Amino acid sequence: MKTLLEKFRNLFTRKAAGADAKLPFKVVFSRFRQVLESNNRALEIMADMGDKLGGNYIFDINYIKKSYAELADSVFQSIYNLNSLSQNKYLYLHRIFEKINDRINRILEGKPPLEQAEPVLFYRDISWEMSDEVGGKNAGLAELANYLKLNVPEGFAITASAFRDFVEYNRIEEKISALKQKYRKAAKRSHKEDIMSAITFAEGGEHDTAREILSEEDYLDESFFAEVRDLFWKGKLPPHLESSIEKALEILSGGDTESCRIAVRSSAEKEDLEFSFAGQFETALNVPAGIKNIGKAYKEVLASLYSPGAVAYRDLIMPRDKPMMAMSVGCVKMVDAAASGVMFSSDPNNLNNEVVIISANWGLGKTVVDGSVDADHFTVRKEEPYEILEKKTGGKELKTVAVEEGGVREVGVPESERNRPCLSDEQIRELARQAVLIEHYMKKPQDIEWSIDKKGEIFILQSRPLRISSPAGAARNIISSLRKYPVLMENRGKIARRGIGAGRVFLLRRLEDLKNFPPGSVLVAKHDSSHFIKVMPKASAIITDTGTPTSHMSNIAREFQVPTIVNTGIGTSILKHGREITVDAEDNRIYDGIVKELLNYKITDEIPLMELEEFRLLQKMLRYITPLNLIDPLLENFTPENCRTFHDILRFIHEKAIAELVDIDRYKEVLRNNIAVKLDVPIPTGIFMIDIGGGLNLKGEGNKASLEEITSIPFRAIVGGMMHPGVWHSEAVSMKINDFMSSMLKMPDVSAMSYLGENVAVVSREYVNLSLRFGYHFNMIDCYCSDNIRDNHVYFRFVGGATDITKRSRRAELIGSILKEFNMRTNLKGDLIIARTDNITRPEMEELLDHLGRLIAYTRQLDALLNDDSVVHRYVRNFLDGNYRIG
Amino acid sequence: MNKQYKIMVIDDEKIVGDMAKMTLEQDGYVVETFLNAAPALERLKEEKFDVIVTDYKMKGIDGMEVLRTVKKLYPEIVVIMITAFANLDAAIEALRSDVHDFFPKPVKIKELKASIQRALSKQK
Repeated sequence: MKTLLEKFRNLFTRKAAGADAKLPFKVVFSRFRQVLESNNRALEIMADMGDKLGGNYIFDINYIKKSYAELADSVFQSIYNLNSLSQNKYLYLHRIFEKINDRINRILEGKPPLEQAEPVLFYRDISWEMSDEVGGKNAGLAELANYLKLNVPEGFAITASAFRDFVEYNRIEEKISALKQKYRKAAKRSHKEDIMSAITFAEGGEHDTAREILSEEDYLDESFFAEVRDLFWKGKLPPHLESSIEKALEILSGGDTESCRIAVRSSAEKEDLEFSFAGQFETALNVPAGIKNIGKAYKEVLASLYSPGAVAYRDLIMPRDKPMMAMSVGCVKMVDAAASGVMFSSDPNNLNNEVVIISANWGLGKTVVDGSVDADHFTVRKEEPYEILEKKTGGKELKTVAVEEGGVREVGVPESERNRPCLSDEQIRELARQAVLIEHYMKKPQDIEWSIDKKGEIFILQSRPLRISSPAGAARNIISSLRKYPVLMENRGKIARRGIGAGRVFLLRRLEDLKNFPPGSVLVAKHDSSHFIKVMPKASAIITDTGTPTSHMSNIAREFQVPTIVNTGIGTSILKHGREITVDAEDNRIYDGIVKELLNYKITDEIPLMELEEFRLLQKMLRYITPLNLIDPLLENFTPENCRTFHDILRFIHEKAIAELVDIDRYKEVLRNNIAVKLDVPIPTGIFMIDIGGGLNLKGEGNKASLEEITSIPFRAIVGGMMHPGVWHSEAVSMKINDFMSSMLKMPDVSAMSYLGENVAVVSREYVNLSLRFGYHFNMIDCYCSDNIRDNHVYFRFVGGATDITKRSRRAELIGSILKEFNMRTNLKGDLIIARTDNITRPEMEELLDHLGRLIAYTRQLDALLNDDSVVHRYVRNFLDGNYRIG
Repeated sequence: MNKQYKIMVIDDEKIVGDMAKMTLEQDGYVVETFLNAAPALERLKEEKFDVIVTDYKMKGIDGMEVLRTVKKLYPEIVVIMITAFANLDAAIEALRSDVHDFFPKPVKIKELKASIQRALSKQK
């Protein structure tokens, strides 16, 4: 990594040579290719690393280190290449790179990613890369609120950094060492045997084993942990931590810390893993929001890390030669609970029962969690309309309530309330609906704590994986039972993310339909798109006709653990909208109907990979690598400053590299320095071509080329479309005098484009940049079209016109509507329209370009005819139906 | 699977043994793991194993030495070698010493399982 840093420093110390001069186009183009190459390499390594988390490979730390070094190098190269392409416009990316690289290297060294992080983080500001800082429980709650938009109580996390500060400020580690010393001395006698066997091993050359035996710490018993707890209780909050918590409480209580009550809960580092320390750690309920009380509760929760039961987890909490496990804490507003309880999103004893199980009591949830009361039990069918199958009203003699001065206590339930259910049918169904939503998102059955306040509002307080009991080995005998399910598709395409998912097909026609995606559905789409991130939390599986396992979308699917098969070719034509299917992205098979056996197999036969150190390490690193925050280049947040992961950087680079190519000023230079060849086709396009490599194969004399002589894949497709029978209208469309007058007053942004005065196509075998001026409008297509899907892009821009702004806007709207039908992402501003698409196959690209060629020809004069909004729809329809008549 | 086959995994990276154990036990094998070769070879004196999966490069006794020792003393045990690098020379050397299979890391679990199955069916 040193070499990268050196390169980076050199960049800043060296002044960019000739920064103002434009680069020759050939140089620009070859640097553009370099950007694509390094970007692709980086995406491939990213995909490979993400794939390893799926549990299908045996890898070790050397793999992680080696892959990361290669990845960092490729990302660095990409940034370097973009800057040499753009003449150092994006040097800031190097800073971002260094920041991320630093964090990942710290993770690799076993340190927390941030040297100094915020001591306090509000839930709304918590994103997934912070989960180490805030602990599993806090991160989970923030995720439910921020991604699933579920109602969770307002709150904040006191972070792992705060924990470390507390430990340092109170010199707790030194004191623990001294304590260990004391206990070791006391236990000396019993150690004699160990020492003898260590010597035997050492003599046999087994030094590692010998060392291991000698460093055993099983003399650290419960009284040792009691002394450690005492260190925490007696500790003092560091001043800056105290003031941060105080400020946060002020905000949380809306300035009224007097009457605000808080629940202070543990959120330890590994708490939500398979070996969840369920019930080990302290929770302080209904604590008055003043710093004194909260500070005390905070210390109590920290101390509970060393609770009597913790001795069983000794090696996790206090690993040898490594920093002690950090305890983050959550402070959330107490819910003024009418009823509370626990629900299981599946039946843990029989997954074939498609039900949600809810237990509930009046007041706070403590009595239900402890199992100390005869609670109400409800069983709900796991699908719309969430039919209530069973209602068992418990005796409910007691309930937990908040006490005015703080804390909680148990009180008797009035006779009249004991034997009536504490939830309405509507509440039961809504709880079940949320349980199913959370299970879909977490991809595993969940054990969920919830409360309903006195206004009837539901709050989710916690969600963690449900422990499933299943007869050992039973899940393996499923192969025969699978035979009864018809297979709809088999071994088509490539698996991008392994796993099994089931649900109704949601056949995506247009990207904007994503907003109607029902939770739990299987997304089936023609192309893959990073916009799918919007529905990933809700999707059971994803199937696309095109795409690659290394695309942006595939990388995100791995991040969200959504079973995904790409490049099936036929998915959208075989899988009908609304049909229930099961996607087996382990064996690449799609079944008709819901195959319960497979879904249950997935749950019961999963290996607890996250118990392995290297998996956790790789997962932590990938949090700074794969999530994609920059989704839409048309949004304001698409800036280097907002790049938080390598994936963001790569996405940004790709987009900006295209923008550099699209820079119209370059073509003046191209024109000056190259011989232009006239396009010789039966329609009067007035296009001149400049070949920068393999774009033309001239056979005849003179400076003109026929369609057959165009070897540029994308340009040939466009010209083919323009020549499509009937789309090129030669008759002049009648123009009113107003239209003509307004066309004289050109739009300022049009003139700013410094138009060349010619229609020019810069071509190579796989590339075209076509600038057109027909009458008074300007059209530009920039396109790369090759056999490598990921390199392909189309950028389409259209602006201006001869008529008034209303008609011009109508034409832009018309073009926009048509482009959307072709699945392009469009941005419309007045009469300017920008549309783009990428990541599609060469044949699809050629088809799209053919249509764009037709569209260019068709809309040349259309604006003069667009007298009212209704005709816009007519012309859109006509065009899509292949009817190109105008007037 | 009627008979419970026994597999020994030797690798100085703990995760390799852990991961192999988790996944192979799923298929009904009995798996024992070792971080270095000496105690593993000791263990062979006490217990019969069907397959040994060993790392190539290890401190102390390395994978080649394991292979040679095993082939000399227990020729019926199948040995599968894994290595951190796609090292051609190592592969050739190992194949000469009658290694059953040779995998570069990261090892695809499906392939490792298939290789073990092939070896065991041949053994029958």
